[in-house]
Amino acid sequence: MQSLERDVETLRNIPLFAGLPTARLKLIAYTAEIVRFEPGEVIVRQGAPADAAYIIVEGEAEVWITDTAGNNIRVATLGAHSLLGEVAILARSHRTATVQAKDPVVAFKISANVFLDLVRQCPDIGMQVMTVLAQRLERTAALLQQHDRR
Amino acid sequence: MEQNLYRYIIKRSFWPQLFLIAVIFGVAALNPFMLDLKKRVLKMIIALDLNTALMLSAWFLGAVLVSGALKYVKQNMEGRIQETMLRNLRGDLYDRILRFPLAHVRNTPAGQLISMMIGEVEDLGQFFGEALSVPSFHGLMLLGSVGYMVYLNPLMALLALGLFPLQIWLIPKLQRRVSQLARDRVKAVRGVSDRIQESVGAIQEIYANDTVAFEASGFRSQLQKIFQIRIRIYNLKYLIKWINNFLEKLGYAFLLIIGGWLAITRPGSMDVASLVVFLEAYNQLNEPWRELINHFQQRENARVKYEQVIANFDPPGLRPEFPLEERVEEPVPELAGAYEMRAATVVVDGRTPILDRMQLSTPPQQRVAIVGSAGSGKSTLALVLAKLYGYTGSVLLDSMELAELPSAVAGRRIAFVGPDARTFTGTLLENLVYGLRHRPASGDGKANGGSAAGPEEWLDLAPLGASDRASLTAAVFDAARTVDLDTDLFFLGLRATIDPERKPEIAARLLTARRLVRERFRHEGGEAAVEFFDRDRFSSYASIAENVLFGYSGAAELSLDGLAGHEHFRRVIAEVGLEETLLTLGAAVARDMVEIFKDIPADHELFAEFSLITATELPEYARLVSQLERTAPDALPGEDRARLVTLALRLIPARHRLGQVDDAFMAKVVAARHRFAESLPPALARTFIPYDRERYFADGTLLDNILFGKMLATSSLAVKKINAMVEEVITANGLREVVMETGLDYHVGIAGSRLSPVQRQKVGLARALLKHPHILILDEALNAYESDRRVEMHQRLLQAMEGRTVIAVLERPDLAKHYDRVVVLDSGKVTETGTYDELSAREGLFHQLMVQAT
Repeated sequence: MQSLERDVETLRNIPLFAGLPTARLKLIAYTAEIVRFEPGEVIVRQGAPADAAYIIVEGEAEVWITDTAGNNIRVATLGAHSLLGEVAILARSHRTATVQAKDPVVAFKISANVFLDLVRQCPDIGMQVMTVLAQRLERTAALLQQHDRR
Repeated sequence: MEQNLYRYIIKRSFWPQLFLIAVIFGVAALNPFMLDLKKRVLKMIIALDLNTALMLSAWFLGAVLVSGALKYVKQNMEGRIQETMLRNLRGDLYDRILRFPLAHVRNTPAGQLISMMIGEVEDLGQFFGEALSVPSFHGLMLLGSVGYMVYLNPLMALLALGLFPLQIWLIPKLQRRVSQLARDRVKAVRGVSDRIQESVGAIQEIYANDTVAFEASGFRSQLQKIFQIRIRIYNLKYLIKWINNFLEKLGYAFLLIIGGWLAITRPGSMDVASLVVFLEAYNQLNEPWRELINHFQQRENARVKYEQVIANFDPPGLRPEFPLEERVEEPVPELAGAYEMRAATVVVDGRTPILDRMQLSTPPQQRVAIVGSAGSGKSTLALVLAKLYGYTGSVLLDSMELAELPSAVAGRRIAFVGPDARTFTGTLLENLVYGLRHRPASGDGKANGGSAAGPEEWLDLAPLGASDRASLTAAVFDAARTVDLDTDLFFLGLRATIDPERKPEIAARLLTARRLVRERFRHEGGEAAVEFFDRDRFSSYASIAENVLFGYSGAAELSLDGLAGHEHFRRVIAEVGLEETLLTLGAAVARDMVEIFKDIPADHELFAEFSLITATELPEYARLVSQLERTAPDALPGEDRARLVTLALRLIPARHRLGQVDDAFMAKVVAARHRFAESLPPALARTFIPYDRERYFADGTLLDNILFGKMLATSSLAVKKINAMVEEVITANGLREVVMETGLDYHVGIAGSRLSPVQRQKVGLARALLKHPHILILDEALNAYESDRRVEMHQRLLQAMEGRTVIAVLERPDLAKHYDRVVVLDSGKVTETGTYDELSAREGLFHQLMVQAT
């Protein structure tokens, strides 16, 4: 099988982890659980407590937000190599959106403990996570502007 | 706590110290006596009187024995005092931490307290042992020797001691100079390390400005400074040594000349034997002399260190003496929960008021909701009401000043749950009953000295109305159900093991569940998510060891770590050609484990949760891995081969995804499995039980047993379906509580790290309910629950507390609907109170908060 090696390679292709030493990548791959979701299956649900972050290896997933009026709005589609679920872990809050598998999705499930540890121990990852979050914020702000203009 | 070091020592170790000094008196008194015996023996030898010489020698020998024995007692006593004092001091300091006011704890880094209590105090320990013994022992030895010299010849004694004042004056002076230089050196070395760090950080700037030469020369001058300090230290140190030696030898020379002259010219006043012994007494002055100087230097350090440590453990507003000391009145008074706050104020940093002359009054047995924006003082208010935070002004609880309510009453009658309830390292049950850990049934529980009372005794079941383990469990389940912890208990229990021999009836019922679950699979499908045990198939979700054994035995030698050395096992794997494969696999796994875990701290949760090797085994395997670079696995010594095989046997291929586990390997493992069971030696045949569809196996979890297989962890939807199915079958068979009880023994990890945040919060709430408080105070204590569950959870808590007082700081204003009264805070003051309907109708702050929240 030797599938750990393969998983390490998969992780290396994800920009967030690209610069990490092999030993770290191995730690992530080793402690991660590989989970499969069928189309339509909910990966994380808005309002639920956060216990893990996910990295999509295969397939696509859609991000939905339910507003206070109860409308469901699709805000993004995530493809392979996307990180999801990290916001709630970092903020120690609840899931801010619902993510639903569009195709059969294969993902690495990284437990909150491991993820937080990683951010704490590797400043590089911490920085990368910040960049990803900042980009997401910028995109959201742009979306809001568009929304207002309409 | 005693501010003065010596007073503390005397207070905590008066009798042992007294005993020690008595022993020291004995040793010191023997010394001149022994010197005198020596003199007499020498005299007899010179006088050629063999008999008397022999007899006196025997006396001398006796004195040596007695003196040796006394010294042995003295040293042991010193060690004993040192350790007793250390234990007591640490105990005293820990008691102090437990009495720190909450505000102080939050401002004190735990690391600082730890390093003081563990490291700095350690140095003090040695001083405790020596504090009185060293000065008295060496002082008395000095006195004894001097006294004996005076007794032998006062004039010569005066001469011999004539040089000492010079030493007393000169040596400490030089010594102080050395200490000062040592301090300078430490400072200079720190400067150098800062410099290195700076240069590395600013290397780009250095290149860009071409200041390499400048930096290099600057660095050299710093090194030169250290060099000079060190040279001066050497100079002084050896100068001191030289002066010391010189003065000593000078005295010795004087004594030789004068003593010799006396012995030859006036044999009446000084004979040869006296002279020899006199010189020995003079030599004996050196050691005590040096020890005394040393001691007085160390005393200063110890005093400063003690005072520093004590100062850190003596914050203002220390909570009252231990409740341990105070007898609780029986029965513990009831609390109705009527609060009356009059100008209650809490100030931080000496200026900012968090609660600002707050006025508030709540009737008894009410459910009060507190709302406000962040910074309104709501959390602080909750802490004050729970008697966890100091205040000025007045807070009355049932017309009694809260500050004067005994902690024993508050701790038993008031429950407080904050947003992150702490979990202690231990089992779930231990965490749940933590609020009942009061007053042991026997003894006074003071763990100072003798053995501490066991945790079992520290359990007060009275508030539950429970008397035995069964009713306690029932109460725990009740509390768990209220806060939704029962499902967690159930699934944690499914992943635990039981001993079927001790609980045969439960094992039998679980077997019934196994049959029923199999039925359901046949009808509903879902087998794809389970890997059933099959004698002829390799199981990827079981460890290699489980795969080979495919059965279990209570015998210790078949335990996972003993297996590699088991004779029958070794023969079997050799016969089917599995040994070499396991070695290769073990080597691969070892390499990965060492690579992954070598930089992880040994006490890290990752080790316990994921690693196939423990932190203590890691160095052994790291050595093995580096050896494997030069040596083939099968050329290793037997012990190392066993290590590799052991590691390979721990591997669960589908979970760990390490190493090369291919079809050929699996076939070999299955072959070994058959061989192992077929050729069992008679001794083993009696205890070994192969996996069997009709039998319970003790080494598997409850879930493994119910499924008779392993759940595949890859497909979450299928896993959920099977979980639901198993839960249904178990509940229908009345086994739910049995499984939950197994879940109570789940170990929550260090500070609850193996629980999720919601689970920790549930534990905190259940713990509070379990002590049946008269007043329950919540501070956003449900914020980890899913948002749509909160309304129901608040209702359930209020129902469980029916007829008693609940005061809750709410995470959302709309939840206030379920409470009798709402108190709205702003900037440390109450701005509105009333019912939910009243406040919603008004255009006030509450209304604003409601609008903001939506």
